[in-house]
Amino acid sequence: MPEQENILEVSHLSQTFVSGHRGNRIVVKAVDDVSFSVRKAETFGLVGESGCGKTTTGRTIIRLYDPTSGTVRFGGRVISGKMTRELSRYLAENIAMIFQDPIESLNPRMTIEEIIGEGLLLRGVSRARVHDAVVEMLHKVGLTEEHATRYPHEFSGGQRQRIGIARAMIVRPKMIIADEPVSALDVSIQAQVINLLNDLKEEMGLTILFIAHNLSVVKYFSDRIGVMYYGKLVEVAKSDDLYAKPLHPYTRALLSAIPQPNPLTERKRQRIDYVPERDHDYSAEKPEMREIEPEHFVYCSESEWQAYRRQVG
Amino acid sequence: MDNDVILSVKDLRVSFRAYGGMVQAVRGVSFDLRRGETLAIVGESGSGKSVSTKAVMGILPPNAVIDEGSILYGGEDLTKVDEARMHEIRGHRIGLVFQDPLSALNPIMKVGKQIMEVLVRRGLGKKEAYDRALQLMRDVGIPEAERRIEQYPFQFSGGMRQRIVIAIALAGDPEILICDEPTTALDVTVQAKILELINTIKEERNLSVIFITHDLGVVAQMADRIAVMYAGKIVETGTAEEIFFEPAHPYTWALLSSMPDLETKERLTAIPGAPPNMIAPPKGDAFAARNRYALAIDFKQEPPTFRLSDTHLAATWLLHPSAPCVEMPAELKERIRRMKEAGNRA
Repeated sequence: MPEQENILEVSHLSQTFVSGHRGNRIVVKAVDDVSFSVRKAETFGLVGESGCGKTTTGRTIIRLYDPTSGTVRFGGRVISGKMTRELSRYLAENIAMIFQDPIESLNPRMTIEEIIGEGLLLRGVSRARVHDAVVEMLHKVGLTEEHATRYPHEFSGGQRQRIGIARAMIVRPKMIIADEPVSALDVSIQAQVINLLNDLKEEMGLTILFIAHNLSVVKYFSDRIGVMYYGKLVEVAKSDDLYAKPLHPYTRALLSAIPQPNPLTERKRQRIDYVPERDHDYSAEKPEMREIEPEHFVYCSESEWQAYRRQVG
Repeated sequence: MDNDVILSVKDLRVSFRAYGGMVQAVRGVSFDLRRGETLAIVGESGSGKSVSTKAVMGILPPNAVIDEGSILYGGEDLTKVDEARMHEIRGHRIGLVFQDPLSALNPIMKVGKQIMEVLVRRGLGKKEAYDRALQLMRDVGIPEAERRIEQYPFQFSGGMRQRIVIAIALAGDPEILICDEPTTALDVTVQAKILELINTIKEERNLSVIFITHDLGVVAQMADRIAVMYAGKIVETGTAEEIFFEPAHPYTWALLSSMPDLETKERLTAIPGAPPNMIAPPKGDAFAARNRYALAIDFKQEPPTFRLSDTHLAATWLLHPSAPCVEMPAELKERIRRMKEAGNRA
């Protein structure tokens, strides 16, 4: 594959949270030395279980948190440095976010038009033009003009998520960070929202960082996938490769745990457990991110790397 | 009644008094639970799956009314027994595992005491109850039970909490276990372990399980038989194989093809629209408005239930002898072929 332009480059990003008082300070390394890059117009999936740091990674990139260390570059520009008014504006114009919970992320006292149009108003666009843009966006996400004057509580979960998407898209961002955008929705509605995101992606040439725990959805949606475990990125690969030949024992454990809608395979399924102490011996060699084959990276030690290389042949 | 049938729900109708009218949450649901089987009830939120089982347990909220129907268990109709009798059945004969283990547990009571509570009520002495609680905690796979029996719910992880809830449900030595989305709040690897646990204790204790979920993957793993609910009705029931490989109702088709599996590449066939308002449920087949195979009669008259085999029933006009021949969507056919192939490989 020809080298494509990276739009987002995350290198050695760490995010720690400190709680407790003097004496019993608790430091949590939510994201621990994570590096990856996202190419223009691709969808990069970040998967892992709760607490693995996938959400924190997304939130740190968009600067909802100040990164503890490491750098994040977006479109060649460092966005992890000191927060200035100008940087804040740059972020708001280029990266938007879609949240998991469509009710908590919409202000209940604002109308849909106010919610969706806020980003443009703050930018000094005139009210009349904002109204037109909101209506256009509403149509794009499958709602109608008459919805503009209503309030969030009048909508179903799927519609609220559409509103969240419209709000993110109206500023025409280059990248969207979608944090579990469909996991709060009913099965029959999830497909609608996934299709909508796919359509918008194609139409607007969007880059998406897709954060989720449902591996079937992530596989369907993403070009490449990164698997996180306890704040570390343990494997990055093209999505087909990740499922066809998972290498890191955690990835294998995670894949073996997904229930598939197929009674024939489910009844014979063998689950693999991941026990870090048993599966790795890092006493002599320190693990790091190593390339096993083109586009397939695993967090491993030198000897594991050799074993993985033999495995992929 | 079939000897094997342990619980029989017949034409159950439940509505809720709400602002704006009566919400008809369950509209004529009938199913039998056989001894030793797992019956999965699948449906979206608002389809009435939880309400049906809450009616079985007698724990409907105060604004709910059972309009009609019967729930036969051990020769009694549970819709007619008084609260004192229901109290004996609930927790003793029928155990319940909820979705959210944290809100199912008392936060200021040690977990051991919460398990013992059930045992003491059954007449065990304190020492006996303690030992039994300890054993139950080991049975559900909690390591270091002696230490953890003295801990509070907040000291447990989500998966461990759900194990405690299962231990409490088992403390009554039930014959029926109702699991209402027991793993929805858990991570996949933890979910896998809890599902395995439920299957193991089911085998060991010869339990009959009603398993409520919206996740078809979980259903495939757990269910012997499946009931698909939509808008307060069961639209299709059958064995797991029948529902997954020979689905007959358009809603089941839509449900099966709307989620990507690991091999899906093509565009998803989403179900258009949203579930109907249950204050005024639509006439005819409730799914008609979202159904691309709907017939004119679907909008006028409710379809009867057609029998496809001894175990397979579906309520759709498409099965009527004079209905046009409509096959399931091609992409679903393709997916079923893939599923069977994968099954042969496994």
